[in-house]
Amino acid sequence: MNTFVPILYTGVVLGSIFAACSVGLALLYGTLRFLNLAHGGFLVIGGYVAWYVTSKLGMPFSVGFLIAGVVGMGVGLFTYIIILRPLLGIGSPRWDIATIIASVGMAIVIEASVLEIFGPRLKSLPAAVDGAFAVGFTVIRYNALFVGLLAIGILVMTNWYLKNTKNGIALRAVASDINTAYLMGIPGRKIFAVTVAISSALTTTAGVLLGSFYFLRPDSGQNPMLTAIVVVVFGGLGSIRGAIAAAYIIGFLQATVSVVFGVKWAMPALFAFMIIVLIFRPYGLYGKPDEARI
Amino acid sequence: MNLLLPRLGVAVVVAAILVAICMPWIVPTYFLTTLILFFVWAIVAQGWNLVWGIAGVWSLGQMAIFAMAGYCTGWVVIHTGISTVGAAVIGVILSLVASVVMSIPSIRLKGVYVILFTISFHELFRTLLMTDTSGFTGGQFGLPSYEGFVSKEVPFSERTRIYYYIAFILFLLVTGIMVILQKSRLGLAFRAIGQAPLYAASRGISLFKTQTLAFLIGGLFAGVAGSFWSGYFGTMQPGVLSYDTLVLIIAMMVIGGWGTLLGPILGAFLLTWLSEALHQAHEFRMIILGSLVVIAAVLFPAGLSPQIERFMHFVSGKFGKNNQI
Amino acid sequence: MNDEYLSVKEVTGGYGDYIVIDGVSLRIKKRQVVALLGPNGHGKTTLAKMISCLVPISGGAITFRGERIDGHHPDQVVRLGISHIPQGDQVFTQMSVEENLLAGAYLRWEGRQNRVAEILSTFPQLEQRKQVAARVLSGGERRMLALARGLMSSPSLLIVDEPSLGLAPRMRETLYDLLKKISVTGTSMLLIEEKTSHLQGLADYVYVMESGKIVLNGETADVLNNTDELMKALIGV
Repeated sequence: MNTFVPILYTGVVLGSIFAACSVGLALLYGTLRFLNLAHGGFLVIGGYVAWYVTSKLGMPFSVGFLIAGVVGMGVGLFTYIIILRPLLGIGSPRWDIATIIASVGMAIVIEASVLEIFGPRLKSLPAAVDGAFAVGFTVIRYNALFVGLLAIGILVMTNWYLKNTKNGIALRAVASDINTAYLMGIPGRKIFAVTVAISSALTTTAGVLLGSFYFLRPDSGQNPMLTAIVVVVFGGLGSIRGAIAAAYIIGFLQATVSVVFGVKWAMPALFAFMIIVLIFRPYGLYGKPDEARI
Repeated sequence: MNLLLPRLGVAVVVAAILVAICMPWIVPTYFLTTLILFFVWAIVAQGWNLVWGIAGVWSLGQMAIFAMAGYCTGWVVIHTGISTVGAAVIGVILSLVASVVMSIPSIRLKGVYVILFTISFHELFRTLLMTDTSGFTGGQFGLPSYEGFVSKEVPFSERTRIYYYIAFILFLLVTGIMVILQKSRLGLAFRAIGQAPLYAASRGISLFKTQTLAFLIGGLFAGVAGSFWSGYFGTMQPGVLSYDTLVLIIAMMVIGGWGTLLGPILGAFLLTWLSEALHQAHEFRMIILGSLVVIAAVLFPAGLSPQIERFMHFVSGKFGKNNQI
Repeated sequence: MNDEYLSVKEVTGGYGDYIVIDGVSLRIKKRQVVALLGPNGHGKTTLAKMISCLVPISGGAITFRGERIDGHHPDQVVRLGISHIPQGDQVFTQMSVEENLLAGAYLRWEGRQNRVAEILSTFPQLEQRKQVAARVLSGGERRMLALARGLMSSPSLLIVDEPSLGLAPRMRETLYDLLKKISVTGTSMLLIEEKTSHLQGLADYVYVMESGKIVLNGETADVLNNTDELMKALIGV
């Protein structure tokens, strides 16, 4: 009982947050074949924007949350204009490499800029909801539950968008088969821009959730990004459904390792897991074998 | 692709080597330390260029191998009685083993997945290091200081001179191997699997053997560089596995150009100087480096060296025209 | 001239240096059903891709309703009213039948539900499988779905490449009945076929293509009854 409750609680909350953090990455890869290694930077931008709005400007959490999303969209579109759009049409595999490398450069620029603007000291977002209750020896904070619910809310909204709006359906069509999508009259470039905007907003708002859970540092986006990458790969690159399922599985995995062996083993365990997945089932839960193996 | 063949080029190279030999007597010691860094990065970059740029394997495992070799070297010296040189050899052997371990599963994986696979090794090693409180690796703070290749009792300027020559010789060896490879059948096989793997396979080139060899040689270079680094500084820190360092190496490749002989050397040269020059600028250093990487990746997907080669052909074309008159 | 819809004039092109289409001219009038016949591998599919701008042309001109369309982006061509349904059974596998249809309605998003209902009434087998994921459908059902999806944009010109390829005989009948129904509503069609079996009563005009050139053309009855010429063109006898 003493290990079960914390694992359940941490697993569900972590899983939801991982899922919210990973969906943006999955969308970008699925629709644009772009593995965004600046993903961590976007997460961090979300956290810091929300921190600034709530701590420095004194506005409520919801305002910080929304503004983080808007800023994210802006940064995303900027990324689209300076990195993605110029490279469109260059063809795989040069697209793959060029976009990944450019995103690495961008990640560093974001991290260094954040460090320059906000300084290296740890920051924390004020809790949206206060208080806690106990189940056995485990303390369950309301804020954690709130963040978890918000994460699930983000997922539900994203799902609704992808199923019911014109651009959502178009986005999925482009991810599935871009040439056939063209034959439906779907404008590729516009959909790319839309995907980037949505993915960025998703990621920065997920960053706000992360910031409510962990301390903020200029490099605090790195570990969540690496986790998101493992989630997206394990789910099957490009699959939203896969990312969500994988997020919860990995959330529980991390929770179990943390509770049983100690928190410091969580990240090494994650990478060991990734190595195992890439050896035995690189295409993940929902991917196809020939996507990953030669 | 061969910049070194035209006679103009050979003369330039010989002159450069002579200048390099005389360096310790011409320039201040600080300069030498930067040159040593250049040699080390040039070795790493060439190894990485072989794996990624020539053989077409998207491995990001170079720094992990570099770090493993370096840590091994230091650890062996600290915990056993073996000399630094002997420990360095052990470090290099470890790097070869690590290369094989990384290469075997990578053979079957496509492009992006190799990046992910090798990065996982990189990160696994880094996170294990950063959270190690047992004292085995020194954790966040790195290995305790140990006696490097040259005793610390030797005065700094003379020590640096010796290290400079060691680094220079290693650099020449590595570059020499790359030059030989360029003309050899193995080099051809590397280029074949990099540019047309299916065709190469149909001509009897074993993808498995060739790719593993590329990993091994690339890993050898990284291991040599890492062991030297460790013995030179007399310590080893997890900082070599940071994102900043990775970006630096990536910048060398992207700006210098991959797939060519000169590319990684040019990139290492430019970036080492840039990085040192910007040291005072604190955060702006990384902002500038990062921006350079973005600009280079978007505008010059193949790097600068192809542009330079085109320029050289243009120039030597002009000379040729004059000769005809 | 006024009822001329699609005009392909002396079009040449292919893939890189490899010329596939050599000086082809073709016309489709409003409300007309035109068949493009010929052995496989002789350029019919490439020509279709040129009309829908998936493949660029290197010479000649393609005009639709008086406007030059070669050189456009494929989605622009759809906007002008041309819907190309390629060979094979390409459907969006991860999406349901209904979602596939909705993707096809991108250009006519308002009123899409009505259009979906309308189309599904024409394709009863799909109506039953409305919520099913497309990847579960049989080959024949996917072909139907591709056709239904291509109709969602209410095109003025429908290009169908090998409509019945891979279909069981009964499905083939259903499919050609459907095509007839569609032509009756006034949609112009370009049918790309290898066999002549279903063309009587459906196609008004026939072009026969061989090695990237038009070798025979005329009213359906004339061409199909002219067996000698036809054989020569199709088989080289």
